[in-house]
Amino acid sequence: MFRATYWISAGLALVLLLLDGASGAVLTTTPDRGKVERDKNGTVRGGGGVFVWLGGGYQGGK
Amino acid sequence: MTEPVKKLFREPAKTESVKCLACGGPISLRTFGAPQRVVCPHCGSTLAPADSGALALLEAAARQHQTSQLPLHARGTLDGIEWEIIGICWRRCVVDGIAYPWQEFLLFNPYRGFRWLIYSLTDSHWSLGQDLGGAPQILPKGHHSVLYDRTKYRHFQGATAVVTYVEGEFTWEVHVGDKADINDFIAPPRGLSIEQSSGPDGVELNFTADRWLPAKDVWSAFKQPGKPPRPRGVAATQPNPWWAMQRSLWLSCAVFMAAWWFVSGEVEQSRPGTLAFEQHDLGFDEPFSKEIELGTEGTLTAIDVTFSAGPLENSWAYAEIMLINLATEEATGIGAEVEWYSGYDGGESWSEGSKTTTITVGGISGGKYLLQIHPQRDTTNLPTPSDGLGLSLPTYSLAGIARSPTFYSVQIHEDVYLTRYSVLAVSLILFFPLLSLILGRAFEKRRWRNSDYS
Repeated sequence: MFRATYWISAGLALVLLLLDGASGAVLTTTPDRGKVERDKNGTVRGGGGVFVWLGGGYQGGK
Repeated sequence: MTEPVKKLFREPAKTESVKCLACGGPISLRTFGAPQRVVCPHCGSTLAPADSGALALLEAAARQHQTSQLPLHARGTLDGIEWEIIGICWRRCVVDGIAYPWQEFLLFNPYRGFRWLIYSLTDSHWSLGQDLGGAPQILPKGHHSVLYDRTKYRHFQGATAVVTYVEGEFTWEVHVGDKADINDFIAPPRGLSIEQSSGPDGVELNFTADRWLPAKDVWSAFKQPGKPPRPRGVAATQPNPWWAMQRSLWLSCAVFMAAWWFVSGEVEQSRPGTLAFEQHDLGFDEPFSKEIELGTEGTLTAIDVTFSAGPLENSWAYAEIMLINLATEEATGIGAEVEWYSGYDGGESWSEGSKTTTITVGGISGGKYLLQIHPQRDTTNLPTPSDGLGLSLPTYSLAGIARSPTFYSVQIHEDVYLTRYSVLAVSLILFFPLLSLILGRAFEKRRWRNSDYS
């Protein structure tokens, strides 16, 4: 049982390194992801529109 | 054609039933070569074969029958051989005022001879002993050890054993009260006992080889009801399960390490950590927005987003960084915060926080993105225009110098190499063999706790 657990967990870790080590989807920060919409009233110098989160969540600051 | 098993006795194999001369109780005799002693299981009287061949009463007794862990004349199959318990002998030794009793069951098979099944009443462990068939060599140096059949046995314990109860047939002259000096030597899973007893003919030495038996194996072999008494602790010759798997574990570890070395090298080479975006001296007054390109279309990548702000003294800054995929208009939002606080306390300076923060985000699809940054900052200590010379002077307070940030910088690196995957893999690869080493040592420590060297 101990040996089997070792072989399985070490094998899975190597597979994770091989398949996800480049993209880092599993072991990295999970940021907010979601849809946004253009803020029609917003203007930003330097190009591009201003987008507004559709979802809620912590918006930073103190 | 296989050779028939050699019979150990000339007489034809048959059992004999006689009556005890003291109590009249029936006694079944199993050893065909005539036993040296027969102890009546009912009254404890000792009988021995006389010159006529019949049993003569040596010593009458009136002791009560004691129940042993296995009954007299029980039959069981061990190692594919059927054995019968023909004699039971209880012994004990006293060490530091504490008695350690055990029961010995003399097993007999007419073709295989005799064995001893030993049950320790102290810890409920079982072992099987047989005549060594030789004498070990005493090694002069180091821990008291003996050498036999190219195996070194370390001294485990020594004590004087006293016989406290006997019943059945025996191939030696056994009496209640008999004393013998026993020294046990171990090389798990094997053990070796040297028993020295003094008699009218001088000193007698007996050498016994023994090995540990699982309690459930003994119980099922002798078809006993229920479950055997649960063994406690580690027996002297009990095999160390952690040592048994060391070879395969470390061999596997070597293979996994080689695979890890190769795979992590390949992954690291494919992740150059290129600078995808950099902007310094951005102001806090308005959001920042720019189109950038991250990764390669059709693949996922990991990015490092670095945010810093200055001047930062006893203050903080925050940025909500959004990456909006221009193809799907799906956004990834990252909150980055920096803060720096310092001061003096009891004459010693202290500081906490960081003026730079890096956030790693994985699973970013390659393609064009709109980078949008909404900055925020602590505005309580912004530079005031009242200094006349246009200098940005800090504010002084009881906590020390305080300055709110006036600019910030953002860097984004793409295709970064994440060491955490390599670290996780190598940690798991090494953890299990090291754990088995630690547990193996703990097992041995528990074993030697019962020795003379604890």
